[in-house]
Amino acid sequence: MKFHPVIRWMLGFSLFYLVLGFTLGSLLLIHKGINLHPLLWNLRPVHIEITLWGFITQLAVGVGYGIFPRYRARRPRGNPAAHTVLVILINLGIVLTILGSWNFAPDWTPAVGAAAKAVGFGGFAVTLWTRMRPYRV
Amino acid sequence: MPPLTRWYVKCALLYLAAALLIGVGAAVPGSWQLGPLFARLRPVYFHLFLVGWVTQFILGVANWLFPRAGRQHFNHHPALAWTAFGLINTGLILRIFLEPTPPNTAAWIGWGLALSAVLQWSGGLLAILQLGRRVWQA
Repeated sequence: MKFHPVIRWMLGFSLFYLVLGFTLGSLLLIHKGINLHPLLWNLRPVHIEITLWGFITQLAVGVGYGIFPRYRARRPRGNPAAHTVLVILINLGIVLTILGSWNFAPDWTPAVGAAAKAVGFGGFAVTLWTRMRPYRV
Repeated sequence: MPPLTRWYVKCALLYLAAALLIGVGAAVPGSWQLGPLFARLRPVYFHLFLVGWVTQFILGVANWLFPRAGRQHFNHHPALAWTAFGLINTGLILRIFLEPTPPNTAAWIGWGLALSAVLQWSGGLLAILQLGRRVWQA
């Protein structure tokens, strides 16, 4: 079995975010136990963002994209170029949202990040929606 | 289903049950009288759910279903995959028991939490290294 490149990138990114999630979560827990540095608490929203959106949601969508029914002989999962753009938007959105949680970032950063994530995940939601069919139809 | 997957999924289901029990306990009328305890259980509740249940279920199923380079083994280093499972669960169980203790109870509790963090981090890293290899080599 070979992964479709879009799936490979989504799973790769989600595992990368899981590494970051474990790392930031561990830093926060160590700080809770032995007071490393008070500024570490500022990483909490980043920890939540990358775990819920970067890891869990991206992995669920990537697996769905891989295993949902495929009916078309040519391009069975739809337009791979468009889906590659959606993967880029999702991950750009996550990065912008993280940057937006810090003071030095311009005011527009979180809004643009949230919009990029919405377009990225929304695009995949439409793709998955159209691929859902009842049995024997 | 490979043995490591069965262990991951069974543990995940136990953590799900524990998270649900805490959720029920926190929702019972009058449980506010135990207020500080439930406030301290909040991070345990979230991590039972997200690390114990969601992440371990994903790791277990991925270990089973992700593509394999050869047909013989699910992991290039089965001992490391089992070590990852042990580290994640030891760390998480340590956290479950230590985190709800009142603050400033004893210094060793703080060091115990730090140890729990290191165990979970190293276990997570090992597990991801095993799976990441299968994502990219397939």
